[in-house]
Amino acid sequence: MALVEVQHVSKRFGQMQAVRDVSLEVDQGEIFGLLGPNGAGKTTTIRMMLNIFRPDSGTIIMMGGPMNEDKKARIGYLPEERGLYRELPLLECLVYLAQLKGVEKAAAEKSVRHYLEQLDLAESANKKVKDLSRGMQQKAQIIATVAHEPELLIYDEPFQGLDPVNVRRVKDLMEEQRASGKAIIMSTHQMNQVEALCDRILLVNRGEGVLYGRLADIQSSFAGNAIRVQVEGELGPVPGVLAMHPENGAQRLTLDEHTSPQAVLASLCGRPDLKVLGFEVATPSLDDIFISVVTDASGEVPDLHAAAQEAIT
Amino acid sequence: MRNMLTIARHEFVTLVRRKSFLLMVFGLPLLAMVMVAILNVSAPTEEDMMALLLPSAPDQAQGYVDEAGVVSRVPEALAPAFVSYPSVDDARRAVAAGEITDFYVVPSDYLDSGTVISYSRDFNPIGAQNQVTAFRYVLMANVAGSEELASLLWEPFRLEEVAVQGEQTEASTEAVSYWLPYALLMLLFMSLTFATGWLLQSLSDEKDSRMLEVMLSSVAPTEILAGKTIGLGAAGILQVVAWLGTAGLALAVGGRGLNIPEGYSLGLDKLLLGLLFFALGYVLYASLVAGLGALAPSLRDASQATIIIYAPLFIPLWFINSIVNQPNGLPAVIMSLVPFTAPVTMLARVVRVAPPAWQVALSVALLLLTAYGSIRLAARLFRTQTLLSGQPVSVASLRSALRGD
Repeated sequence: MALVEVQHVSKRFGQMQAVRDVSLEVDQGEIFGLLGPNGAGKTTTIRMMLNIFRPDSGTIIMMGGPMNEDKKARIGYLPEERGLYRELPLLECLVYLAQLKGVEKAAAEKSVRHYLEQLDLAESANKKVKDLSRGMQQKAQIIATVAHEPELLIYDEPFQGLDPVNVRRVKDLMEEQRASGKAIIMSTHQMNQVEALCDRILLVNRGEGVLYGRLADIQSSFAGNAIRVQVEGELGPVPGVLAMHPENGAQRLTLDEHTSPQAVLASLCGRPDLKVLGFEVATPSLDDIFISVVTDASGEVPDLHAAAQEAIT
Repeated sequence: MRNMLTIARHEFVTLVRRKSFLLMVFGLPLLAMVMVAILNVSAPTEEDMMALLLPSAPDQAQGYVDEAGVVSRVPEALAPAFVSYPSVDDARRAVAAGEITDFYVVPSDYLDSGTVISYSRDFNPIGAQNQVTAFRYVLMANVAGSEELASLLWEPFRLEEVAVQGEQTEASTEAVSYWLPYALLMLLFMSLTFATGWLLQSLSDEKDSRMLEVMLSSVAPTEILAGKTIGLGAAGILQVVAWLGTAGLALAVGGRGLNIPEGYSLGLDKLLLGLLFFALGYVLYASLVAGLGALAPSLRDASQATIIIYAPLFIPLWFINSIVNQPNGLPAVIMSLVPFTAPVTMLARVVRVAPPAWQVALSVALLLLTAYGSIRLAARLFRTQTLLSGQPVSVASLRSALRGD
């Protein structure tokens, strides 16, 4: 049974249709990517799941029924616009937030200390939040999201403001949570992280769901008949290849419809003047898919950063 | 409920740990106590106060000629200022020599006529009264036979009020009826002002630090509001109690007390009733301010608007005469049933009479209902896009907030 079921949900703010007929399901033990340009309706969809906003139409089923106050304790939410009590010591602030999720004080402190260790913040436990760096505050907010051990985690831009080392730490944490059977919804613009972590995705554009399913299936469906090869020697003309262009130190070869990647590989391996260093079926990156999907009818790529603002941020 | 208490405790502890709070709660009263102590050191004793009531010695020496033989001794405090002369001629010579400025003659028939003749070198209509007063006291002390009796005759009315327990006089309850509502209103108003100020500050801080969305994803808006109201209200009451306690201590140290008739008692039932109305009044007004805090785009805007919300609290004071004189009259009854004026009006009535039980019950019920509705309303405002976006309030957004969209 899905942990989250969003069925044909719509939400309008005044003249603006923030979300239109969006549906999705999130299962236990998976990381689900909620993607889309700014203003696409991702945050509004999340807020409707959490009952902060009520949908104009459609149904949202959380953990087998309508969202209610008791279920809030079973959810960890890292909002896009986030903050902590700046004047409080870090440990006290995180323990208080965990207590609000129904954890006893002693258990909350134990859990918080564990995550402070895991995210390398233990030495800052007694510092005031305002004295922490932006990256440290970001990690602290992630701890506030997970300290009460929720079944469902919702991260809105979890890697914002983190350096590569801490991105790695947070990714490890998310993978641990998935392995332990928790469901994770991740909303982000960082496509490389989605590719690395997500099992399934929903791409939202202008309030509507435009791509939904397993990440591998989506990438396959966008893949043309192409390969990427890296060779030592002059590649020259290759039978069955319609076009050839360099790509990141390799060559991307577009094949005609009668030629398979295996045939090209056999052909290249049979040439004594070439040494094949790398060979792969060329699947489009999620970046490419994202841009191609949100490109408007005129063929222009919208300015993703200056696009319409999130419905309510 | 559990989260509400967690929030209340958090808000209370966080606030009372602040240096600014500690300074205001304990620093200011301490300063006041030091000032009272300083004033007390230089304050006159009861004897001093009595002495102030009695005439002082004239600035320049005066003479007297006692032809009636009544002045056997001059009171000690005045003795240096009065010189006795055997005859009018001797006294005149003393005036001419500059030894005295003026003198009195007590004629031989004084005890029959009560007449005293005053001789002055320079008649001064302004200063004459004080000079005459001092010699009048000299004569009184001698005619009465003792200084104690003279001082009693001079100030025969040193009032101390005592109320017989259970038989409070009309006058004493009337006086208490006047000032007690004022005092309780000030207590309520001070608690409210402090607590709602902190409440607005707390909401504003959470808006600024973007904590509200995290809070709303964890706790019901009603619990957030109720928790903050209780926690900060407790801090407000702590502050007022600390101030009152310090004031009482300062008065005790200074050897003074409040001007309450001795033996006067409000009675436990009335006290509890007063506390109930105090608490309900606090919850009602605090929740209104919280709703305002949720709507207002900034702390400054919210603070400016609170005075409008508090206005109904003061309405009973405009009618205090009517309430005190006719505690069961129509205006008093109406105002004690309307929730916004009920806390102060009912307190004023309770001091004077025992209001009919149905009125108390109805008033409590209406206050409870309104306070509950007010909290619910404010809680709805909490969860709105207005709160999350910090955008200015519009009719549409307000309507949307009230619908709970």
